[in-house]
Amino acid sequence: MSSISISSNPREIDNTVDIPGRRAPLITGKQTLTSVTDLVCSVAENPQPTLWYVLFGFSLLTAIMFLTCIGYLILTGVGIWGNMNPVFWAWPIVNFVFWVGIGHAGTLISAILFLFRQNWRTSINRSAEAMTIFAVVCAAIFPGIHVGRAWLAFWLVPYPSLNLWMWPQFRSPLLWDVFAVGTYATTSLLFWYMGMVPDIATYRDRAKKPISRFIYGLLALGWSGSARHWMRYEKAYTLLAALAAPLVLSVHTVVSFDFAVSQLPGWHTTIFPPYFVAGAIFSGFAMVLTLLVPVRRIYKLENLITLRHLDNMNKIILATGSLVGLAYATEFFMAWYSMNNNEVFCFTNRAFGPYWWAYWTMVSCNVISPQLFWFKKFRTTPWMMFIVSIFVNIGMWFERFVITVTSLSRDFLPASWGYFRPTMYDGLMFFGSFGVFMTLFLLFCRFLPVIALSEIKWTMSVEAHRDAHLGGHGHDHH
Amino acid sequence: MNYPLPQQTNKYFRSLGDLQKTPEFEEFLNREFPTAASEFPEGVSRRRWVQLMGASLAFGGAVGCRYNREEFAEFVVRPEGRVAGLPQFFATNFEWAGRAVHALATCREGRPIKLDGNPEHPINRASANQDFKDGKDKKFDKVGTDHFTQAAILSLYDPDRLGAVMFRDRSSGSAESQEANQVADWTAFVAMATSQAKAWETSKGKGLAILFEPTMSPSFRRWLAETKAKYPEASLVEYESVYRRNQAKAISSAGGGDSVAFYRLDEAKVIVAIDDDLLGSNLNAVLYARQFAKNRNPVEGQMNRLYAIESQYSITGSAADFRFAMKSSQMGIILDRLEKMIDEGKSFEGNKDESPYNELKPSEKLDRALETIASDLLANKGASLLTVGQHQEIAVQEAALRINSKLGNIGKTFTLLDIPNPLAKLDKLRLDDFVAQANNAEIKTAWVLAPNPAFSVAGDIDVAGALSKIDHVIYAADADDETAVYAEWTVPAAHPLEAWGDVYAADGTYGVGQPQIEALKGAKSLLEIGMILSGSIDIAPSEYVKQTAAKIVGGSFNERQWKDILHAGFLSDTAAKQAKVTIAKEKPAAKVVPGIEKAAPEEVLLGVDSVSRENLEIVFYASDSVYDGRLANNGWLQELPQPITKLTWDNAALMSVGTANKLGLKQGELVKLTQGEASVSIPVFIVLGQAEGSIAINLGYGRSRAGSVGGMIRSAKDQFTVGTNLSSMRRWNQHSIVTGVEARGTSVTYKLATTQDHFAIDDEGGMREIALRAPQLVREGTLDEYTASKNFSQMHLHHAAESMWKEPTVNENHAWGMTIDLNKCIGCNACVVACQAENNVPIVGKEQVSRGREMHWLRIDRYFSCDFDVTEKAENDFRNPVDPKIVMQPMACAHCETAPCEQVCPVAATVHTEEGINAMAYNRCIGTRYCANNCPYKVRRFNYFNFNQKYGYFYGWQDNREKVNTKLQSLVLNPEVSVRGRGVMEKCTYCIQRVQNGKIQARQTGDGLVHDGDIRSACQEACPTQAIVFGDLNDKNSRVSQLQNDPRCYGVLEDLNIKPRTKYLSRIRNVPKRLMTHDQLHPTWNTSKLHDDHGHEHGGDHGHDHSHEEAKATS
Repeated sequence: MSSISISSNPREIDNTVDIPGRRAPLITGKQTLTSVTDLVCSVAENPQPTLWYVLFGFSLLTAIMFLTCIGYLILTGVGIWGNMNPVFWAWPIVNFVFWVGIGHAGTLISAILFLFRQNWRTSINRSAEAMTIFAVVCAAIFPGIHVGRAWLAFWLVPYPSLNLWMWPQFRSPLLWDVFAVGTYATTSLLFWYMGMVPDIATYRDRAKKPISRFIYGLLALGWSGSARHWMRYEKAYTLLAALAAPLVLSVHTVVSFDFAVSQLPGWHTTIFPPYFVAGAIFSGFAMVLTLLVPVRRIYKLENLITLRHLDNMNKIILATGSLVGLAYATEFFMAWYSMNNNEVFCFTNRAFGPYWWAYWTMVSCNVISPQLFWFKKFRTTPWMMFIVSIFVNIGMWFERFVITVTSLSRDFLPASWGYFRPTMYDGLMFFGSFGVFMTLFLLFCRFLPVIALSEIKWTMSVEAHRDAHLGGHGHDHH
Repeated sequence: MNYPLPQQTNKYFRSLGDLQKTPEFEEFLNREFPTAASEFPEGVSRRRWVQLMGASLAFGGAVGCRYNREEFAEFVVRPEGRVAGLPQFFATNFEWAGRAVHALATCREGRPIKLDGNPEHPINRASANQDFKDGKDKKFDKVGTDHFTQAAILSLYDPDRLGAVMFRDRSSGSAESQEANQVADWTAFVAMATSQAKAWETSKGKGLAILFEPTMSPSFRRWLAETKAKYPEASLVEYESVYRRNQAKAISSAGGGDSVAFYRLDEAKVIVAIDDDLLGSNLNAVLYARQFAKNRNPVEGQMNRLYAIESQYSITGSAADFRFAMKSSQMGIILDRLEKMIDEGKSFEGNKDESPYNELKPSEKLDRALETIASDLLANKGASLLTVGQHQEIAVQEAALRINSKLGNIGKTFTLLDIPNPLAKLDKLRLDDFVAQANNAEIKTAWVLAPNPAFSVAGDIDVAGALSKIDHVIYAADADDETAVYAEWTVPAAHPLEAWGDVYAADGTYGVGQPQIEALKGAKSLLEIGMILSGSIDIAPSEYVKQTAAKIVGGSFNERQWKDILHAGFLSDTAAKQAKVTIAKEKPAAKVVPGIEKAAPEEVLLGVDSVSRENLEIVFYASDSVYDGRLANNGWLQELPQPITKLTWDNAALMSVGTANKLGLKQGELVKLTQGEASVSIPVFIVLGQAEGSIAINLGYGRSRAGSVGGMIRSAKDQFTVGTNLSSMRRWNQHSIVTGVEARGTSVTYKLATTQDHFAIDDEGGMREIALRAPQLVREGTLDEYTASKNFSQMHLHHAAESMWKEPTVNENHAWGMTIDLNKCIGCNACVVACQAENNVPIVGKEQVSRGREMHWLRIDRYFSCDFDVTEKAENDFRNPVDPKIVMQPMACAHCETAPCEQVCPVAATVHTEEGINAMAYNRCIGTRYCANNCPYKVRRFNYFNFNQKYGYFYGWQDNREKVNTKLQSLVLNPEVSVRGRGVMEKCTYCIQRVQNGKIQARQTGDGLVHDGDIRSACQEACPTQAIVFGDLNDKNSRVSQLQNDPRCYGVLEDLNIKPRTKYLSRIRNVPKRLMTHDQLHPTWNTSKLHDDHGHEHGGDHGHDHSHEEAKATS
């Protein structure tokens, strides 16, 4: 463990540029298999920095506050939020879509990038998947408590009921949501956990205390690293990846149906599925950045989560951000082109009506701020990208706010137009959901391998193999 | 019958302060209620409640039930035809908020839960609508009521009503101190009154003053006259909280004697309402609305024409074919000019190429309007009517009388009725003299038999101070209110549904009011309290009323006749004859017309340029919600959106956009209005169409002792008020119009709760969009346009839209549907409260309304429409459109054939019935609210809280009152409709309980078939103009299917292909040519402009490609 070699200067090799003929390394600092193991395991094995305790304490309090709010909500009624007529859906649904969106990066990274053999995913996939799970947890809370009679929310689930003899109403996108998010959560959880089994086994093997050895042992499911295990593991992993890949598209597509299937101007539009998926990936990557930039610094993982990884993610953010911008423009074009007064008004009202501030916050954060990533300086300087990622998070929350609230606040009959104002509980519960998210994430950092050890070692071997063949061969290795 | 003798000593003489928070108090309150009232809510013996109240009701017709309490017994044998669980209907008559109500009360197990108009009443029969002359009218001929009547039922179960006789020992402590309060009982009061009555007899009533309101009750009038005869020295003090005497005075000075004005709008082709809200705040508004609507079918030559010149946009103004806004204080000038034109007798013809009305300057507009009105009046001599508001000065009233006389309208459209009034000839003491005498200690005792004078009388005479100087004040009170503080004895006054009474209808028809329930709080009627005070305790009120009836019948009067009166609710053929009087046509010489602005007596000040900060006028109106404040504790009314402003739970200074801008005032800003010494701070409410320089304010707000709904100031910490008290600003001799007012902004903002336009007025884009959309939602045209092209209001799609899915199969038997005739709807709100009463719709309170969470299933959308092009050209700012017009549109669930709400509900809680009703299964609803999002009409309502319990019908959560009160108020609930809990969506069900009952009834008693008109929705039943028609669309002869085939019929947002079942008939304005705007003159342009939403629309000659299957009849 003493032999961990940490590159003090991450720029000793500029690994953010793919030089033709020579791939930039995925990890830096002349890592060996042992050093990588030590590096990752140290996160859980070393005493946590003070900052962890501060953050964890704060997050836990926030999460408890959130749960208290939920209790109060269930005792009192959803009127404690600012929801009103005609804005029947407001912050809770905005938060739901926001968290579901964030949950997208995980599966994209773990499944789609895996299937496309993008090896750079290995450094970030574990934490991205964890983030996905936790984001989906946050997301799932909101629709559950959003319904007027939360204690009956289980009626959304198609279960054979003896006293009703009825199924849910299958035409409703909300029901599709239950399936989509449910499937997504299950698959993501399985994927995450399965991918973690070899690493947990490593933790088990290194555990010193009997309790942790026992728990890790339990979680490792008797993994011994035998060739048979590996063979089955890889098959299963590929299969799961193939299964999960369409979910990346389906979840947010279905979530977007909540809006697109209705007939509300501003919701009723066919562009929503691709637009929502792009937005979700956009926000998901931004959240991965927001988390990993400090994590790699705090746990000194700069050699594993390198600037190249961050650079790649920034490129994706730039691409999806521009896609989202294109979608915004398309919506305006369609409103104008359709010659439908309601549509035209809906969009002029978004940009210039009483919610103009929300709209322009959204545009500046989502469309303008990622454009900074055209500059390499921004793509490769952690604090800069951290700031941009925060902006993107804000912007994506506002995007959902703009779609949900501005469309509802002024629909067909001007007599029922309204202006939504959030209450204290809207704010507290949105903030509280971050508490749940951060509590879970911090516990993950504390107890589970934040980086996919086994996979990174595999890419190391691939890289080593490729480096050995450099000069002349140049054929494509994965 | 005798009063029970005092059997117990006054063991309840304990201070309220001691009692209030103790468990004994709760128990005491329990006991304070009549046995039944406290028993039922305990849930122990509902059966006994049913028995008792059923019995009380069954015998109610014959006996004064109060005296026979001990005889109430359960039925041994069920009376024939009486089925437990079926509602019973009783006719009754009473006065409510100054209006005579001829009602049919729906009683369930002995408790009244709904009031509707009595369709048999002659005054209603006379004005019956004649749309369908095939004999089916009768079932449809529901008279309708006003919103006050609809809400009266709630006041009956108001827990804040006074529950006991109170005695305040005024020698100890200050008047307001709770410590001085004593709870007494009736026996003590009767004993006191009896002994005093003897003393009065010897002193001939010297030092006694009786305060009362003008009343239409013959018995009460008789009692007053008899009392005056008995105590000749006593003073009768008649006072009005909302002053309306000017017209009577003018009639009398013009030679009409004591006759009472009664209009016949149904006989008038041309109606000119000068600052007169004939259809809204007039005491006969329901009847007048009915008469008005009778001639509102857009058939050439049959349709009447209504002109309104007014300062505040009123219901009448919105219903008018032509409206002109100007200050109330300048109406005298208008009448002078009109009178001159009529004297000249010249009618004005416009030349062909004169510019349209809306392109004129303001003063030219007025000239042309007056010319047109004068010509129209002259052309319809004897069939026209000019009315002025009752708040206008006597001189203005006289001018109106002269004009009507000159036009030959007197006796035809303007009738003067000879309704006997024994009080007319009696000496009465003016209120200011009463105050003066009281201050001089000339009055020893006052009987206050009127609601709350200390609050409702104008502030420059100190009634409260006067009362506090009188030794013995005996006050018949609804509640322990502002006046009760100054009273020695406060006795509970009964709700009209608890008491015997009688009333003259507007046409003089005599009607009796019978109790529907035993007095819940042990209260007695004003008449009975008066009788106790005057020592006539040997006769029961029912007997007294019966005697009055006997006198009116004259000759022999037997029990049979009495039963008939009770059953029918009226005494037939008692309508008053027209008075044989002639109204002078000559103007009295050299009489200065008061009330006219001194600065420029001959010139009407129009436009915003004439507005100055120091010279504004205020016009006070009785509130559309709380009247003069007496209904302040009625939650339904407090939360009822006022018709034009849609403001709830408040009064405000209404002013126009121009005036507000000129004065630098913002919406919701507190403005300090000062005249002389008096001043008041009140929030600004900007409303389009208000006359420049005129401020309109509603009375009746700012009560300090109304109760837990209407305002209560217990201490500096424990207080809340609703709205602003204006009494300091009012002048008792300058009744409603105050001029020379100065306004100063305070830049303090005040939160106002409206149900519409939460913000829109500041937002140009939104206002522009509203101006664009309103004509599509509320389609209207001129009579000329309609005559030229009957289906001008149809929207034409080039290809029929197809359904995404199979439409629900519809039972062949029935397909329920509704039409609302916007040409008849005046936006009076009666349907809104009727729906609330029928369907147990809770109120939510001001805070929740300002969050947009009001629960009304039926709302009335009010849009301002304007000549879009002209406004764009003239102002280029839709925040202040040129000549805004108001259109009203009742909006409830339209029961769409392809209901968007049903398709998105994940748990199938909202589904289609076989008969096409979009139903809600409350038990299944989990409250995702998706349905509401997807409803294009936004008519679904969500229970964000447990509004029914936490907020309640009485807003009783304010002070966590005793449980028994909650239970008392829940007696108002309709047992046929589920009470919804929190987290559940609700909405209009087409009164599905009535539909089901109608079908059951048809099976049991009829031929098994539901005939047209058998089933009427609550809103339909309450509509005074019969604008709402509900029925079976499968029955091709039903009224509703005929109306749905009318060329005027259209569906709102039909282009969404949701196929609404509720459709609207477009509004037709009978605008004279010379007053038409550019849009109205060129409707084709108009139509194409409105429909450019679809790009392919065209007005004028069409008749193909209908958007729906049903071919529209074109004639």
